[in-house]
Amino acid sequence: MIEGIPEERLLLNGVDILRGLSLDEMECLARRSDVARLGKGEGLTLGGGHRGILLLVSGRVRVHEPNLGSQDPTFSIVEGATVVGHIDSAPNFRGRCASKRSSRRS
Amino acid sequence: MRVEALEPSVLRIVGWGVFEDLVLRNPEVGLRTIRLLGERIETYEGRLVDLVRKEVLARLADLILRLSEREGTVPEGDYRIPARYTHNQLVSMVGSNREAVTRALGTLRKAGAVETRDRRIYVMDATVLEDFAGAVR
Repeated sequence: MIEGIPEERLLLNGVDILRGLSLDEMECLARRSDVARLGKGEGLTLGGGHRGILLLVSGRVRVHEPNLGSQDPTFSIVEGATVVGHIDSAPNFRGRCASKRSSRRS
Repeated sequence: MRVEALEPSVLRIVGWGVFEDLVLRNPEVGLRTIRLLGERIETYEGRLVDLVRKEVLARLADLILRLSEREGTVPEGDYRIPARYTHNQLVSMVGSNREAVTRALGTLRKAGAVETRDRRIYVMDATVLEDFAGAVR
């Protein structure tokens, strides 16, 4: 960990679609999103009312559909740090970030 | 849809409203996301077509080619897929059963397209593998 910068922000900065965003943006995103920490073999089932984006910050996951008969097809195996996919379940909208344009870190 | 961790993993669930706010302030995030998800859709469409058009052997050959192109390294001129893919994972990615994939892997091995050593799959002849991958029903 770099001194003074929380690990969560550093990890988010490694996500491919978020590269180059300011630390303020990273902090805002970390504050306004939910985190799920999974141990090996643990799962996260997605479904329900809301929609959003699922980011894999670190690690490696299998995206599959366990309810399709006995086959349990794997759609993809995703390695961090990137978008896992678009989901239809996400936490509630919480607060807003300042609307200033982010400055790029070089 | 379900996500299963193959190793300890950290995920972030970003609500649609939060993500939209982020993209409005940083359009490049939206462009990168569109590009990435577009590539995924293309891959999934290809796999869907393959499920209809190709037998297990061709689907496995195609999968090995794609994985080796994406993740393979080239030690001493041959491509290998990292051992991180278990037999069961290959089976579920091909959309078949264990026996059929074992048979198909045996066929590819006999043809000299691949070798398996130390639980890794090595691509020995990409041209032969491409021939198998291109075979339709």
